[in-house]
Amino acid sequence: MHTPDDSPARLAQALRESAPRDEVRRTVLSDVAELRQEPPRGLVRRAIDAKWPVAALGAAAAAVLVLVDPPRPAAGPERLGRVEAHATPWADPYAKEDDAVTRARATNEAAWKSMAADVVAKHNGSWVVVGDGKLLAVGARLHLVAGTGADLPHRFVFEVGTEGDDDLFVSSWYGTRFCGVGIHSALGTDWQGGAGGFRLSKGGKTVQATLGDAFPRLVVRLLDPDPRMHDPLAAVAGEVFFGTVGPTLMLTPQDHRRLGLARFEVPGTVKVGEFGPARRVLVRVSIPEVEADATIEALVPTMPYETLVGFARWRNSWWRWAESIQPKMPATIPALGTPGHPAPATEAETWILFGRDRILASGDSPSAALAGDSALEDVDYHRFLMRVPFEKTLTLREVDFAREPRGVDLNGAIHPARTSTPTGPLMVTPEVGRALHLELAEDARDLRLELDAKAGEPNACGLRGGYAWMRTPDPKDPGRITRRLVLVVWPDAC
Amino acid sequence: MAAPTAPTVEAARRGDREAFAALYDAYARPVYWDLLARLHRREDAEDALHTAFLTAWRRLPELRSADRFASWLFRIGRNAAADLRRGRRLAPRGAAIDGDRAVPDADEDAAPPWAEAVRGLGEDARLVLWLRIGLEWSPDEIARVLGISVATVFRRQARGLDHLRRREQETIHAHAG
Repeated sequence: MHTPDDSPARLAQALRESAPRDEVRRTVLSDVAELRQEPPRGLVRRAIDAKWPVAALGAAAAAVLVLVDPPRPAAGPERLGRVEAHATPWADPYAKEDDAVTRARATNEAAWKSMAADVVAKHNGSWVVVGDGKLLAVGARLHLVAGTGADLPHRFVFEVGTEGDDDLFVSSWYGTRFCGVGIHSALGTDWQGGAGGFRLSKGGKTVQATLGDAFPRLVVRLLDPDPRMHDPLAAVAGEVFFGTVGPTLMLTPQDHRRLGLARFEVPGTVKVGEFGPARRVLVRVSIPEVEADATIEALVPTMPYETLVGFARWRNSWWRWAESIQPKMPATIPALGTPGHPAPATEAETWILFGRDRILASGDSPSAALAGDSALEDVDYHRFLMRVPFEKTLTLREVDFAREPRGVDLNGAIHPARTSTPTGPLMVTPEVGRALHLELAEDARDLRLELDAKAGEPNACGLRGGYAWMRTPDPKDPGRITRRLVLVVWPDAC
Repeated sequence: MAAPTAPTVEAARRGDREAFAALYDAYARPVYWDLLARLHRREDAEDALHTAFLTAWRRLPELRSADRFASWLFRIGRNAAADLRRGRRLAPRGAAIDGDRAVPDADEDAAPPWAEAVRGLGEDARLVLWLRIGLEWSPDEIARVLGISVATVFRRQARGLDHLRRREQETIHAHAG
């Protein structure tokens, strides 16, 4: 027999065991993806629905007086593919860190340096918060101190004794986010590798990672470590490459900003192989499929963003050598035509978008391939947009470009560009290339520019290029704006 | 999972499907519990849940205040349950309609015992039980999403738990007698 005092606990347990099936969620969200919202009903309709005739008459009369522009259903956003982003919720990754955060970090670093010996002697093993240049809180558990000074731009929050500099071996920058086996100790999960992916399990539940064949990944949820600050909209659903070597978790600079992890940094810098430095932070990680949920220490790279783009670009070039190593590694490198290899799904699909070790999308045009990746709202450092079969080289002539740049509407803003034909290509500076995020749709060919050179001067140089949306008035109907994807190049090795 | 904030509701109202997914994740279970308590069959509760969330999505632009979302959603759920009852003559509890032939309910479709235990409890107290006991939201969060005071949350929670304890005693006495 239960005592009456058990009621809440037993009800909680019973409710936990009663949940709608996942299939209902999938169906609802799939239907929602197809279903347009209704515009708000007007006064007349509301009054009629409310069976309120007098009000309906009054509202109708008012509507007659003000009916100049009746409401129209809002058109859904056109799917363009993520070349115009980083729109919200991601900040521009090239933008400098907020000055207030940088200043507060410097203050807290100096404060920690001066107090470290004393705090370690008195509070080793405790959780502390250093903010505003002071020791703000000491507690036995993270959750007891996490809320102290939470509105400061920067804090150190850590368990005394774990802080400090470190070196970490990694052989490659494996992915946008990646982790080593340490994450399993932190989350209490078991990892089992195998053909076609890996499995994570915990407490009898299992999740299979299938994103990518040769290098499978899993989407995890990243959250603010302060439980009081949880907001589902702020959670990051992030793709992570699960490897054997590596940190507990490598995040991206965008994660750091979006989750406000400057409020949860740990003193010290980690040197990540030969790649560069990273900051230590706390982040809450959740894998709902196996009910794994823990606040863990992660790293955030602090090298320039261009460097991270370069790491991803190098990694995304693997398809150039995959053929040569395929005979040696048949189990790990997928065969032609399978996901992960740059071959389209059908013959009609002659363009692919390639990144994160796999084909992200394909289509019969560059814009179709690009639009296919719209559903992936995650961070990317770099993607190739290319035609298959692969064309190795594209040579352009300098004489075909206008000598002086003019303002062109590219990716929704006016940028100076040297034009050639009405359908491109355009030539811009590297700065404009960055502003356009051409690294998210880079042309994979070897691009060369034949220079209009005098005798004795170099007559060719290398180019980099990618695709951007150009908006121009329709020549047949100047009142209408048309949009096309154009190749935009800039001198790289001239 | 914590209670969604007004910006999440606002984003969903503007057509952000990711935000709506977040609202689904936050509220699907309590709405389902409410529907299960009304309809007593899991499959019916899931059908009504599906209808309720699609209705909520379509009509979100009409919601005047994001702070009223939770109450509004539960009201839509209640209407969906009523529509289901009206539109389909529900089989008597313990039996399902399979063509013209009545067949015993599959065990997995029967509502759990707690759905019976909350019978007779007022809607407002039931709602607080789902959020406080089922989701473990704080009284502050519940007060915010339901637009009531924290004191009212405590009062409704106490009323709900008293009800459950009474029902439990009744059950014990019935079995003993």
